[in-house]
Amino acid sequence: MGDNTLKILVVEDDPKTAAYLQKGLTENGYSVDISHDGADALELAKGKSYDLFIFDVMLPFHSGFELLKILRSLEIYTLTIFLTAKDRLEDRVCGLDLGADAYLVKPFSFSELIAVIRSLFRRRMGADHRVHSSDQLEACDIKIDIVKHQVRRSGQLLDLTPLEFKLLTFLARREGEVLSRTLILEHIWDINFDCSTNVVDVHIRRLRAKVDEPFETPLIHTVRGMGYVLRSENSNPQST
Amino acid sequence: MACLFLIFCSLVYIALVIKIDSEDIELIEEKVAFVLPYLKIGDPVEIKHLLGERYPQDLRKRVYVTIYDRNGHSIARTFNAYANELSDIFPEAVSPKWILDDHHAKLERIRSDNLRVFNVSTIKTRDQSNNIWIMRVAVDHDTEERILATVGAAFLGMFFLAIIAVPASSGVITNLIMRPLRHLSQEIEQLTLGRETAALEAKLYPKEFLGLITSFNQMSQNASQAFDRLESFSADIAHELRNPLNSLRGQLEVLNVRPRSIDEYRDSFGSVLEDVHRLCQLVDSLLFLLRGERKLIRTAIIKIDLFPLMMSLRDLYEPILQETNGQIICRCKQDLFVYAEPQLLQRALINLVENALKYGRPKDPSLSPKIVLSAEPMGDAANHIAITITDNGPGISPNEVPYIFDRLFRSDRARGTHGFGLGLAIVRMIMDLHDGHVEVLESKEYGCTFRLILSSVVQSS
Repeated sequence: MGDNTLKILVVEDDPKTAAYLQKGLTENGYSVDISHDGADALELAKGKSYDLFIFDVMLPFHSGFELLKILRSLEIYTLTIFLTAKDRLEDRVCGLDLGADAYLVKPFSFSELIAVIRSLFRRRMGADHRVHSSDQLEACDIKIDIVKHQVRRSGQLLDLTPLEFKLLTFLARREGEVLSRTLILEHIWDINFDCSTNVVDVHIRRLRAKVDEPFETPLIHTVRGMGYVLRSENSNPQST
Repeated sequence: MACLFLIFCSLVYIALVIKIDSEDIELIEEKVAFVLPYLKIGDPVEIKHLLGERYPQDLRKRVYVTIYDRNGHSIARTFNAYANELSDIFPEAVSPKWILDDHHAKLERIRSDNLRVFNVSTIKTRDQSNNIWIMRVAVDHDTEERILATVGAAFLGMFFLAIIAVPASSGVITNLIMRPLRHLSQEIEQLTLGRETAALEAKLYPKEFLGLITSFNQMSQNASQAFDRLESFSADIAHELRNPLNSLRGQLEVLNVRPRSIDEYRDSFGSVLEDVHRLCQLVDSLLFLLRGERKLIRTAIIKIDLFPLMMSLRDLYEPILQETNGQIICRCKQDLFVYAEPQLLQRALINLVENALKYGRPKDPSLSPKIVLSAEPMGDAANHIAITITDNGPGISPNEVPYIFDRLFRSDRARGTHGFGLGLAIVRMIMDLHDGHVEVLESKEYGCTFRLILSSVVQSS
């Protein structure tokens, strides 16, 4: 996706948050403009074409909601993500009613934000480029046959339980992306809150015993404090 | 009230009238029974003698008798029947009406010249030679009349007195009753609800106030306990926040003192991120709990098949237990349904399983941990489902049971483990949102069992 750089406008009045967003997003290959208040943001958004807006809700001059309302009335239908510390249901509904595409509640993890941005762009482009066909998936030297429920690594058939298969498929689809435990719980078990036990770790450990241990190079890596990622050892941790 | 009194008076009055009239009749009949046998013989001399000398003097003076012979002349009278004012009642000659009328012992009320009232009865009879005799008996009704009039007046007076006196006196009485109440109200105003339990002294008030004062003191005690809980809750939150914050600060400071290797940085940042994650979890759980307790969580209640839900829980936690040779068993029949919000029910169940995992491990190292999930219908109409989660750990001491569902309560068995003491509070909150129930069952020999009770029928809410 990095070939033609995607442009993002971040409007966030807290300078520290704005700075880390700019740094993180730039490192992920996006071109980022920062604005600290609603009035300034409006000028920027009207003058330049962006691929994505990331708005804080509480902003000086215009709130994030107002900003989006004005921009939509000007027929600017850029993808929009709200970041906010308010997570009352009404706020969420209000944001999405205005036509926001996603709503992230602070404190969110940065990897979560990246995952949301990627999925929005993927959705806009219509398909995930890494899925070669709907029933075949390849990541590193792993080949997954979605239909037959078969996994081969370096040509060798792996004997996985349905749960392990689901977990590996999820990691493989997001190859190179650090997936938080929260995200894994949500995708595999449909649990939308953090369990306090190490339940995800244990499942990953089992998967590793089958996917990594029989082979020379491990593919499933732990990123401490963040989650798990499937990648071959030598690749750049932040590459897409 | 006054109306009731009036009705009561009237009833008493009517009863008195009936009683007195019936007494009069009795008197007359007594008299007739005494005289009638002599009339049957028909000897005028004997009859004169009867009412004159033979007439019993002790017989009540208020009974008057006159006897008329076949010619209609009065031939004998009791001594009291000669009085002038009685000439209307006892004329010298028989009134033809008496002969024609065949009235026997029928009472008529007659007012005499001097306005005295008599109950009078006229009896017609025949002697052996078929001659007609007429006997007229009068009973002085006047004394009774006066009594009745007096009683009636008394009742009427009492009635009006009541009408006037009740409102007048009630003011005074109310004032008397209100005095301690006013005192009570003043005292309550002066009490401040807060940390100190504000209590009223029952001794200072009439004994009728005991219930009120007990309730007030109970309420005051509850309020001060709630106040205490709130205070300690805030303190606990601050404490919970302080620990990870302190750890964060320390780690970052140490890291920052001198240059480190990349691996060291990576390791420390990982650790810092873990702490931050913990903080976020605490805040999320707290907000979730508070919002739930204030019923601000939207609940879309649907029919949920328990079997797949419980099996997926077992699959999720089985690997953890297997790592310590433990097991998780699911005893849930197929086709059991409850009405609940799926995400919330799942969260409640997960919290209980995690609670069992964290605190329900057996102390005896020869025993391996075992968690049993089960679900079965309960209640008379089987309109509820009981879901139980049982572990084989050390159990919960009975004196801790009342507190385990409180926010941030951590029992002795939870010391030294990860957690905020919010899990069970969230379970209770979720059950409250469903009008359900959570309880700890009394443990038999070991372990503890949490039971959730949910409705298996649609609730009209």
